[in-house]
Parts: sequence; C-alpha cells; structure tokens
Amino acid sequence: MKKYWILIVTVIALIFLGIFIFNSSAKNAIYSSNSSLGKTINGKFSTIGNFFADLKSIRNIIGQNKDLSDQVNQLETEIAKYKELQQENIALKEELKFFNAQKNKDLLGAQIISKSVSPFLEYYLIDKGKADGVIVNQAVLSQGYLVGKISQVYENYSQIELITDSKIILPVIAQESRATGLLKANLEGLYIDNIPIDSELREGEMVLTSNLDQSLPSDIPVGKIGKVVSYSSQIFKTAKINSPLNFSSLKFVFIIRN
Amino acid sequence: MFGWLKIIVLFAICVFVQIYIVPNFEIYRSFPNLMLIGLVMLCLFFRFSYALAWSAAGGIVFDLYSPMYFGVYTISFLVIFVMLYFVINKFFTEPIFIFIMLAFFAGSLIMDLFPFIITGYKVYLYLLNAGINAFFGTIIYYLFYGRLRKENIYKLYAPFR
Repeated sequence: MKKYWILIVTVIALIFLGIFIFNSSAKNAIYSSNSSLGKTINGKFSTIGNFFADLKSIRNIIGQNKDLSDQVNQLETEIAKYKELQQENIALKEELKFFNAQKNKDLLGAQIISKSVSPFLEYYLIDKGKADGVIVNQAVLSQGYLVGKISQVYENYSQIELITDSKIILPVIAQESRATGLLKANLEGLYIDNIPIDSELREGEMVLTSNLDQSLPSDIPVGKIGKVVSYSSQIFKTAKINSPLNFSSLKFVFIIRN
Repeated sequence: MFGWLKIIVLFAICVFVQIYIVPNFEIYRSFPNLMLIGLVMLCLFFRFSYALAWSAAGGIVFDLYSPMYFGVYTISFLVIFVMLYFVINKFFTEPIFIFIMLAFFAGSLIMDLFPFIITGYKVYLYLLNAGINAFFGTIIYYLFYGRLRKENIYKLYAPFR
C-alpha cells in the first residue's frame, strides 16, 4: 500500500515539475552546466564512431578512390579555366559593386554539443542561442550545404532539426533542369518527391533550396541528384539525393542569421 | 545511504554516456538506451525505491534533451516501471532468460512508441531498436547478476510450475 502512495506522490510531483518549473530558462541552465565537457566528449567520440562506420565501407572506399582520382585529374583542368573566369568575375563585380551584395550573408559559427537521445528524431543541440541573435527557422549549413533549420531557441543554446528528419518537407529546385520537388527523408537517406514527370532531371545535377519556402533562404545547396525513379503509370518522379555531408559526424555548423 | 550514493553516481555516468557518447555509435540508426536498461535491471532485481527514482529522473533527463513535449519520456518511463515492477512482483520468482529479454524488448517498445508514431518510420526500425536494447540489456543483466542478486521472496505462480 505504501508503495502505491509513493508512486502516486511521485507522479503528482512530476506533473508539477513539468508544468511550473521546467521551462526554457531551466533547460538553458541545465545545458550550460555540462555543455563544455559535452562538446569535448561528443567531438572526440564522433570521430571514433566515424572510424568504425568507415571500416564497414572499406570495400566501397577502394572503388571510390579510383573514381575520385580520375575526377581530380578532370577537375584540375577545369580549375585552370575557372581561374581565368574568376579574374574576369572580380573585375565585373568591382564595376557593378556586386561584391558588396555577397557580404549580406551573416554567418554565425556554432559547435554541436549533443545529438538526439532517440534514434527516431534527428535533432542536434548547438552552443548558440538568443543571446547570439539566433531565431527559429534560420538555415544551418556545413561546408556550404544545408544541414537543417533552427527549431527551438534558448538563451545560449538552440536545437537544429536536420533535413534527415522524417518530418521535414522542403521545396527544392534542380539547378540546371529547373525541376521542382519536395525534399523528404527516410531510412535510406534524402530524396525528392513530387517531381513533374516531364522534367529532364539528370544524375549529378545540383539541388538547391527553392524560394517557395519563405522560412529558408533560396539557392542553398542541398546535394546532388542520385538515381531518378520514374514509372509511366505515375504523374510524378522521385529522385535520390546524395549529400556530401556525413550528418552523424558533424562537429561545427554555420547559421545564416539574415 | 551508500546504496543511494552508488545509484546516483551510476545514474550520472549513464546520463553522460547516453547523451554524449552512445549516439555516435548508431547501428543502422539504432543505439542502446542505458537509462532504459538501468530501469529494467532495477525492476528485475526488485529495487522499488531505486527503480522509481531512476524512472522519474531518467524520464526528466530525456525530456530535457528531447525536442518533443515535456512529459513524453517521463510518462513512458513511469509506465515501464509500473508494468515491469508490479508484473514481476505478482507473477514471477527469479525471471527466466526469455522473460528478461522480453522485459527489455517491451520496455523499448513502450519508450519509443510516441516518437515512432510522430515520425512515421517503418516498423522494422522500431523493432530493431527494441531488439538492440534487448540484446545489450540481457548481456548487462547477466554481467551484474551475481553482484545484485540477493535473497528474493519467491512466489510460485501455480500454472507455470
């Protein structure tokens, strides 16, 4: 009998805690108490975790290495051409004052403190918050590619909802064919759904965020088109997206503040 | 008192490892849940106070670090505690191997039920995660079995004799 009463009292106490005490200030204080140690440990163990994941794919790595060596040779030729174009571009930018427009991107660097406690939810906690000018729905990048968007903000910390989360639906556009679609995620990775059947999507084409989503800036790279799946009986195509980011081993990200 | 101190230290270590280390070693998007494993262990070894405190505190910690509404994990942990502790106490003596695996498996299913529903992932990820918790939980149970087992009050449920 005594045990039942203890259980009932505990449940009531927890309800009281949840309603009246655990708000965003309390969460912020708790994250502050262990964030520095957490950052160090998370950073070190994400490298170790990445090592074990890499061992599994060693056979693929050998094949990819050969392909990449061929690509590097091709890219070196293209780099020489681009350097010429770059010189011309700089001159044009200075004439048109286009260079100043690029400085409008206000990037804030942040470190990942912890990852999601549940394998079903793709959320990361970072060490920047309201005090640093972070607000909800700002885009988060890594290596120039979209990682996700800010979903919750506390005083000194924020939560990022990754694009690999199953609840994400993001309008995107293919850079060359201009085919639009909706970016989604499942266990196999990222894919674009609802692509018009008559669009001429090509493998390797860059995919960018579209201006149809007012919450995120447009023209942010998401990844490249992988396999395109199309059936004659359907009115939409689906395409797999290959992102160069390894989401499980991210340590640093950038938030677009404006 | 010394028992509570050990539980608190163990809890703190489990929280730290679960939040900062374990998510880096996912196995096809699944990883073990040390808070759940600790709770089930305490229930299986008939430690009412420790198990209740562990379930309440573990649920709060998970809710703090989860993007979902506060209380989802706290309620899940308490439900697991109530189901396991009172079911074991009522029907079983020393739990058999199958029951131990089932206890961890069922605990994981209860804990991940709400996230599974809102994310809409395929059932096999839900079951795989439960299987991983059952696997690691059973191993840890038998590692600590000799140290934690004391004289339990044995009640034999007649149909299973």
